[in-house]
Amino acid sequence: MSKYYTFKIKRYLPDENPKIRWDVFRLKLNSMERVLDGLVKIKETMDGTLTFRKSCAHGVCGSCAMKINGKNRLACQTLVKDLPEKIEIEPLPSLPVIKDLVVDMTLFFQKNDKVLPYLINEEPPPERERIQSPEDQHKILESITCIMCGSCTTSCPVFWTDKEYLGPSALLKAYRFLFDTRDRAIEERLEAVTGEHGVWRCHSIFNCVEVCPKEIDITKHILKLKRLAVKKGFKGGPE
Amino acid sequence: MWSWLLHRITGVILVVGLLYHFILMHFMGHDNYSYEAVIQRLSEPSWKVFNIVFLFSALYHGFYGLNGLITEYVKGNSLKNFLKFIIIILPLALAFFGIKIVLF
Ligand code: SF4
Ligand code: FES
Repeated sequence: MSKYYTFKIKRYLPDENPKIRWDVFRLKLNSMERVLDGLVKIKETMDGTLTFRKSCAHGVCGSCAMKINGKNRLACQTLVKDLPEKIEIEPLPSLPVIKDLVVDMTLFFQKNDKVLPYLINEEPPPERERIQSPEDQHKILESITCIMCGSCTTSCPVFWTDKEYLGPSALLKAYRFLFDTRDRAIEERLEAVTGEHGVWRCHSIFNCVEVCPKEIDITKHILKLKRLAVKKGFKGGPE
Repeated sequence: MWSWLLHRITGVILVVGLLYHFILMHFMGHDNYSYEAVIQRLSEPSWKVFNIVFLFSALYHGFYGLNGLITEYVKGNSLKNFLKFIIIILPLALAFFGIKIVLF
């Protein structure tokens, strides 16, 4: 069953006009189609200048995160039939906009780098690979499913006001390695997440959990990080 | 980390302390807050300890919260440093007066 939808899109085309404007498009979409299909249709048939990021179109790459009807979500994972007939689309909040719905994610990825997002293990590797038991894998399974779309960090009020805050996504990444039984850099990584702009800035607001397209309970993971830091602190670990 | 943990601990102390205060002052009849009863209570050492612990918890908890606000909301380093200085001096001064009242 197809239906007409109104797409109201926040536009920013710095080459043409440094002012923000809202454009309205009306288009017919069927109940199987997603917001991303609508955007592609607009770009292909109505206004070629409309700019947005997409790649996989199947909720895996994390590039199509945007604010749809007031909530950060993946355009490729949001069916239009689940939305009202008026659909309002903006870029992710709180990051510099490059053009239309494309934001500059540099800051976001820098935060990710700060938590050393790679396995650190100086022990000589075994003959084949470092084996992880299914139980051990289960401990970090939820955090592994993050696709780094940036929905969580840009929905976080602490990040809105404190741009230095590591943010839910980077903290989740820290969790992913801190609780990986093959990793050996607990101290280093805890050092990285327990600074003034680290875990202590999380006030359990749960905005991140509400928007995460992979339904990760991010706040729970951050709280576990705090607990780990306190435990290590008692044993004389990093402050 | 210690500052954060202390914030949690003082939070718990405040909840318990406040509950105790409310029950005593508002639900246990009028005798508890007559002039004599209050003066008598204030002169007991256990109450002095309670009051001082409560005082420090409240000051620490409140001003650590403010510290968080300043860290997150205040832009500009000089203003930030100035405010952080204030929220160290102010609770110390308040603690001084508080102790004076409780002990003398
Ligand atoms: S935790 Fe969820 S919202 Fe945050 S970056 Fe990962 S997938 Fe996106
Ligand atoms: S396009 Fe890859 S997640 Fe939407």
